[in-house]
Amino acid sequence: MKKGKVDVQHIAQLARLHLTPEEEKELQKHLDRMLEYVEILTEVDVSDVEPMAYPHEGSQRLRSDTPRPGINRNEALGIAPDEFFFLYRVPSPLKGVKDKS
Amino acid sequence: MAADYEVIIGLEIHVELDTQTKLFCGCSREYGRDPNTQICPVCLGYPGALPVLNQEAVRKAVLAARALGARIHRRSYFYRKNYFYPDLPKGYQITQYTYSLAEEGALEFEFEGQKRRVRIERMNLEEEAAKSFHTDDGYTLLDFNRSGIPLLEIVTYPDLRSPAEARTFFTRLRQLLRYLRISPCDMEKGHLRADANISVRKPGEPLGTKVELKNLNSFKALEEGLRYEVQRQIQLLESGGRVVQETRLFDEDEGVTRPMRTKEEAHDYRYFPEPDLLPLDLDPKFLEEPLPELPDAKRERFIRDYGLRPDVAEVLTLERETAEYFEALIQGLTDIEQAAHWVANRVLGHLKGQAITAFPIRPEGLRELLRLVETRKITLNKAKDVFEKMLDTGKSAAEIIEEEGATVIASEDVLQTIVDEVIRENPELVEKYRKGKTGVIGPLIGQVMKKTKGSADPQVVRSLLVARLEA
Ligand SMILES: [Zn+2]
Repeated sequence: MKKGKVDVQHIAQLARLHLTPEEEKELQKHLDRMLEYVEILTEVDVSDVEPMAYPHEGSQRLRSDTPRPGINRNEALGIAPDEFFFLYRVPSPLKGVKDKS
Repeated sequence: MAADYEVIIGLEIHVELDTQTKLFCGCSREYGRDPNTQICPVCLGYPGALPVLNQEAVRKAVLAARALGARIHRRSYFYRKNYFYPDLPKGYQITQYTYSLAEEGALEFEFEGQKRRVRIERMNLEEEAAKSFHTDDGYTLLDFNRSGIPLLEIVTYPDLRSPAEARTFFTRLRQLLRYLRISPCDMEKGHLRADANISVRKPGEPLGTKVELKNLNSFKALEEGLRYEVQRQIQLLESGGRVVQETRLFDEDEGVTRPMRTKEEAHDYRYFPEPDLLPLDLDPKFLEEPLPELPDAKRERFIRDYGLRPDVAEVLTLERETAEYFEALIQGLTDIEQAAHWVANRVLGHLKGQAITAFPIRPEGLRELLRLVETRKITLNKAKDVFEKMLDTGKSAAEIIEEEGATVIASEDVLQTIVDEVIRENPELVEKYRKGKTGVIGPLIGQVMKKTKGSADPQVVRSLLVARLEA
């Protein structure tokens, strides 16, 4: 198969998304088109334009350092794929995901 | 061989800031709680959860930046640093990148008799990752209580020239951070961690390939890990090899460094501005807050104002709390040097590394005891004895002396009366002394001491006896 700009399989694996071959093909098409579209921007000469991180004025409001209740542990672990004595259990990154490239 | 090489080390230090809540959410961040009990959608990285910055973390980070003389950016930005790792559920860490919180600071310290100045390149606020445990059967277990704890990242220039110097720098930086009370810096709890960049080269040659060294989480590990790495790199070069740019982990148990084997993706973190956080404009109140007296200034002042020996001043100012104990103690005392020695030797000796805030005798209690010595109401030896009893019983100096039956020597007048009594009671010894057998002064002193229940100063007794005998 012709390699696209984005390695969809690899990203899907890292993000634990299970894609059918059709979904994969479809996403490959969309993501590649997005990247192509964004690449158009690199053609613009911005050498004398001031970088802008945010399109609007203003700055962030800070929060006071006061504890607030979070969410229940059972509720949180309940939607996890796997747990072990109240810890989330995931495949070890040390052995890890096979590199597809 | 090793002498032919110059060692070049830079450190990247992470400090957990001592706040009540996490950096971007209101979860408590107390250490040692049951796993995954301090979690919420923000620190679990649920889609759509929005971060809100903790002002106390900003305050503490700015304090550190000012103490290190760094240039603080009135406006800084947060970025997403993208990578896939299980302890980072969002797939990115919120950190700072260009427009750091602060840049270009320095820490000055003394090393092997030389003044050294290590420059700080940048200081960033960022979020801590979850705590992970790797099991033997190929799993990683995650506790998100740690996820999102505020971290201050301090990156130095490669200004350090030896593992021992790196250790001294790290010690001094920890001391400073503790003075600022922005983190307990308990290394066993992971409050303070160091990674290092290290390379070697022959003087005059271009910089060698640098290796990133991780897991240097104690002063000893830092020095030993760097030492091992220096040797490894030199041996490699000497045998015609080449240093590979890589990340290595220090194995403290075996004392070796090993390449880190992970599938952590690339070095391209694809930083981009965090769209969920507007720029951070510092409130001037953060820049105006008075800084506490810092360790160097305090040590110098102790030497100058109290006439302390440099080594004693150093011991008393290692921790801000010790210095404060000492300064509370000496209110109203005249013999400052004696007080300094009491704190440096007896108090710290008793504590054996524990914090002075846990010491059972408060400064007022110890002052009462030292006042009794200063006014010659009790001897130094007696004071040492009372001190031990104060520790054992929790009673005050006055209570202990009272209970022991007024062994206090009220004044030299009282002592003089006892001396006269002893002279009256021992005409033979007095006779012998006057005939030149001055050695009999020993038994006479002994008798006075016995009558005072050991609470008189033998030197004072001797001089009072001599004055009478030679009159
Ligand atoms: Zn949270």
